[in-house]
Amino acid sequence: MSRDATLPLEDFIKAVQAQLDQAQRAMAIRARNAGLPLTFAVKDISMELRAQVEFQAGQVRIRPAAAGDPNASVLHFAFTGITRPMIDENAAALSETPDDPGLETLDSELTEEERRRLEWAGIRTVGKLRELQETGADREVARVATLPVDRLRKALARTSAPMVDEVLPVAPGPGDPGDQPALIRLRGRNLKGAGLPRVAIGGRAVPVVRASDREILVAPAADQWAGELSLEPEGGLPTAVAFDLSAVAPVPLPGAEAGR
Amino acid sequence: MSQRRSLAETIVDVGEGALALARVPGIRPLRMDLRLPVEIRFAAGGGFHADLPQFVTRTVFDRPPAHLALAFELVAPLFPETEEPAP
Repeated sequence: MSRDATLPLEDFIKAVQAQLDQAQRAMAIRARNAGLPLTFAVKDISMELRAQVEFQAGQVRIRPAAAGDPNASVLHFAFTGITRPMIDENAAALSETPDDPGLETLDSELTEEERRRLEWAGIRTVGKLRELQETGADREVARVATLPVDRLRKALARTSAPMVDEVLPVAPGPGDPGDQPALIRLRGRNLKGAGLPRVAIGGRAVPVVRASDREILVAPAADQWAGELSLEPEGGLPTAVAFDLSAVAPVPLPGAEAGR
Repeated sequence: MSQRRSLAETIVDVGEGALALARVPGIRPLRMDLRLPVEIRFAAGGGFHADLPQFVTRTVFDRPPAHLALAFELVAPLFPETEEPAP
């Protein structure tokens, strides 16, 4: 690496933390191998680094000061050993639920730099962003993250639209009655809306067996195992997706390839 | 260029080295504070090396060293994954 390489400040701090963990582990293992009942552990560490600080594409980057560089900044980092309850307490504050997609799902609406600015403002998930909009704080967020508020609202409107990610056949369970209709499972997000969504395949309505925002079970007729599936959540925007499950249809559709 | 140590290696080597010097029969050190100059170089892949200066005397061609302050405490060996004392 050249002498002038820079590193994002965040990556540098993470690297220091990783190195500290490694040092603590090494000292513990060495003490155990030596049969010592006690060992030394790092309680506190601080580092004073002379560096040039740059701001590039929404990132703070640092470069160690060169020889004879009188204008370098002095960065002072202080770390302390923390206990597991303290880790858990902090982790809980930053935890993201699996159902709450990260900002990367907005990649078609917001640039990477814009997403980084939102993360910088403490917003890491779409759910958090939506929550702020509902409380009317989106204008404030847009100002803090230096984003046009209309752009932010447009991105949020896009995330509220239903999106079907998967269309899958449902395998019958061992205890299911023999006359139970074959089902298709739709997976995605924002699927349900305020009430029961309307689902149609090939322009004909399909009975909805169960619906949630993440999953819908439908019972299509024998000739509805391929074609265009349209979905309209109650009070939401409609969406459509083409699919073909004719190979696993309970009654093979005309033209379905055998054994596909 | 000689192989430089990572920050973890420097901490362990310096800490245990200093501790070995402090072991005197009848005395148990409980805490140790060190302040050291270190040369920091960023490595490929986002990591970095932080080792003691290669030369005692610095010239105008050498980068200014960073300074590392370490506080060690005597504990039962802990493992970061469990925080349980070693068996």
